[in-house]
Amino acid sequence: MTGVPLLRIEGLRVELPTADGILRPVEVVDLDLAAGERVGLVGESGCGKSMTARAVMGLLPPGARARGRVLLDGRDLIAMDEAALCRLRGRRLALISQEPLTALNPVKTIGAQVAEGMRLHFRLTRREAAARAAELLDRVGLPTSRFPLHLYAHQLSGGQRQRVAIAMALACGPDLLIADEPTTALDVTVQARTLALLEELSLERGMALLLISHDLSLVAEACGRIAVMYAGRIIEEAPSGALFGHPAHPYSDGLLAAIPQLQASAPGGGPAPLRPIAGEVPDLRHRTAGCGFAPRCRLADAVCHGSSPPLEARTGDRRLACFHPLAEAKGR
Amino acid sequence: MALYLIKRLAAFLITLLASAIVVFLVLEVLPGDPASIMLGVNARADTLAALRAELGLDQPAWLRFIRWLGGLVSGDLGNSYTYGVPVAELIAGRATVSVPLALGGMLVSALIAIPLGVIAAAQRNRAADLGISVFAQLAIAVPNFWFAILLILLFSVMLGWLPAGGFAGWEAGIGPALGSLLMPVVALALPQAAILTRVTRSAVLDVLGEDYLLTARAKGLSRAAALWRHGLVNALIPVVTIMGLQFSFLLAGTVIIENVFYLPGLGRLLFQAIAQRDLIVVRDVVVLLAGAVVLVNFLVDLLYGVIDPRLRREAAYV
Amino acid sequence: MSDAWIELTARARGNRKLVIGGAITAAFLALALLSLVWTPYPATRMDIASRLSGFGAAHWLGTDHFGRDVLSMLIAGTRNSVAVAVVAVGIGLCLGVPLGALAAARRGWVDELMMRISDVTFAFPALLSAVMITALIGPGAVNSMIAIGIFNVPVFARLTRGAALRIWSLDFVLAARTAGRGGLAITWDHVLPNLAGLIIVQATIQFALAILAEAGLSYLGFGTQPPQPSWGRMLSDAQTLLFMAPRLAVLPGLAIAVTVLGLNLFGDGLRDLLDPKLGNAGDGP
Repeated sequence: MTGVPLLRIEGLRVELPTADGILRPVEVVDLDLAAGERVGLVGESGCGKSMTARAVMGLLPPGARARGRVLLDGRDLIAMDEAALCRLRGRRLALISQEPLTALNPVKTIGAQVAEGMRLHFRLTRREAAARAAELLDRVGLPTSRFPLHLYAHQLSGGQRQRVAIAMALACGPDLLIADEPTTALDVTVQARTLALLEELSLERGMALLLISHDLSLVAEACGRIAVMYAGRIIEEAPSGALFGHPAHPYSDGLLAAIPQLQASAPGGGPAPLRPIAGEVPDLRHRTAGCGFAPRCRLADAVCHGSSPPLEARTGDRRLACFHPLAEAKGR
Repeated sequence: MALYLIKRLAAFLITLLASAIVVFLVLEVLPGDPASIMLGVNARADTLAALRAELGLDQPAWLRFIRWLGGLVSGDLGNSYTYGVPVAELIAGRATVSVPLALGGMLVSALIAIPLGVIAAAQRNRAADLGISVFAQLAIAVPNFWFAILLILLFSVMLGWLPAGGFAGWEAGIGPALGSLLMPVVALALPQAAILTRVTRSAVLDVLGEDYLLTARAKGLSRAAALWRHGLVNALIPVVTIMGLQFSFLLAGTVIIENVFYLPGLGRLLFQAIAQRDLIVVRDVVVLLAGAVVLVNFLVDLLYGVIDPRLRREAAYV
Repeated sequence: MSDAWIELTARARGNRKLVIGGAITAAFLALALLSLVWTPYPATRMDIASRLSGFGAAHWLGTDHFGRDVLSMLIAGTRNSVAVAVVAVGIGLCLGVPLGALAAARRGWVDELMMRISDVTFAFPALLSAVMITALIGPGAVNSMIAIGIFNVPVFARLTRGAALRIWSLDFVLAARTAGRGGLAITWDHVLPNLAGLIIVQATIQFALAILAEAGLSYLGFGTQPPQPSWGRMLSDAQTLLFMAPRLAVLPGLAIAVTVLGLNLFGDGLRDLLDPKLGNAGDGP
């Protein structure tokens, strides 16, 4: 990676005080994004990926605290006061969340909601903002001839609503767009189109994209690099092709093996059988000192149960947190 | 939108009509002869006959009903037997007390409840919230007429600041008139405010958990701006609905409070008419009050349709 | 079954509202029962010589303008309030719940008709109509019970109907229907047991409202008639004596407020307790 990264997350931890003690949805995350780069953040529910997104935006749920540093162009977002963060949100960083229907205010028109950010950050008049909103909606595939600005969210389909959300996020030309499970609530056919749109927009505007999902295959298409999270930590990070070709962490391998394959690749012909990963994600309250994946890992030994492997750089632009990585020559 | 309006209008008119029928029937069902009920057992035969003729008792019930309805719509409600003046005049005069009282009660209760509810929601489970909840629980349990008496005890008997009853009249000037209405309005507003506080609190809490607030903040709005611009309208919907539904309780409260403070309003009129067996007045006042409740509920429905675009039933997908 | 009970009682004990409300309600009911056999003095005995005496050893809470012992009147008033509230809510339950269940089971015109009728009933301010009814059929405790009871019927009918409709749409009811069970059997076996909690909570609230209504009616003179003691009428008598004996205006109202508060807390506590099993409440007024 050349130059100063646009976004540098250093030692991010998120703590949540509860009746059961202090929980850490995010144990430690270190991640860099260059300007214009598209990075995927993948993991099962509960691994901390959404919390990471919220921590970057400074929009953690009440009671939760972020520690560490999140540097946007060198400025630490965690140390920033709320007023300064408000100036950055929407303008330099934007967020799209999972449920398009509830993310849009049911009693406001889509035009007003897309225009809102621009009126706030650029002080545009209502008319100017409306014109720009129309352009944006047009760009995301909702031309105003068929989707006039005075429509409401409930009059649109799920995919259309998500596109409105994308238009809202783009409105002020952010340098970074965090998309938290943007296609999870959508039909399969619509998912591909939505992702393609995000990829296009990133290329077109030089906008960095942090794409968060539980679906590895989805992310692989759109992103150049993928980070895999498990139990609050990044356990592997590599260029997409390398990750798919030869995953080094047993968990990444497990994730890939769990993706259904259509082609015949088993010895006797026919598609390879699905190999699920045995066990369950550890409960937030019961994390141990050892590697979070150890209870489910077929390669785990005493060392793994004793301490958590640090995330270290490896060859081939890869980072890995594992004491017993898989051999390089595992093909797929 | 048009369809919604028409349906609500139809429901409104039907309920109005049904209410009138019920009122009419209840008084029809009274055992005995209305004229002798009104005049008493010792009335002379010719007075009785005259009253019966005036009441149209010689005509069939449905005809009397139609004529009464016609009178209601045109404003001719006949003459009160006991007061000797047209009922419409009587009601109009009394309304100048009851309407400000009821509206004042609604306004004051909203002014108290909405800010308290917002604070309680914002400070959820902390000291302010618990304090407000306690207040609401107490205020609901307190009978409004007792609260009124306590107010009189404090402000009239002990401090001598406000009159213990009676209405100075609008002619005496705004100051004295409002002075006589101050305690009544507060007494009326209290239980309503308690209920509304709880409703506001839960409506705001619902809104606070909504995703669109997160979206608004992600665009760069401050917490306060997000709540104000996006949350408020959504939170007000249930609050306004409950205010409308509570209107009938408000009217009942108005009637009692008028009696506590001896205010010459519709409530006192009703009671005096009941005491004097003036059935014409009783019938007309009751149907008026019921009509007011139905009207307010209709207006709330309309408001709902304006505020919440989801109700306008346009095509689902473009 | 006993496991569920153990869990339930444990949660009940931890629920502050339930405990406090329950204690107050129990005390109130106990006083009502007590008044059947004993009050410090006969509540209706007038002792003109000691009229308007203040707090004292002979009469703990003093006497009123007729020399009646205030404490005894308050205790006897408990019985009066309980009686009226029990009967009024009873009427509402016995008529309202079956009607609501019927409307939910039958749907169609039966349901529509019931909804229209209840709409009309809600158009009439309840207390006002209670006043009118008692004015027309005559004042008194019994007639108060009827008048207040009439207005409880649509409350329970609506609640039952709304909640029952939700239950009818559930899968286990569909299974029962497929198995050939009729509306009545399904209502009895499946619908009502699931509504029980909701109805009990509402009944507690309606009980409190009935006590307020009875007090209001008695205050206005349309409720319980002298010489039977009633809190509402004590208040209306006291209003004329505000200068001389403010205590007479404070005490009966306090009794009402504390009782209603206890019942409301108890109802809220019950609702919290039964909440996971309740789901949403039906549409009430």
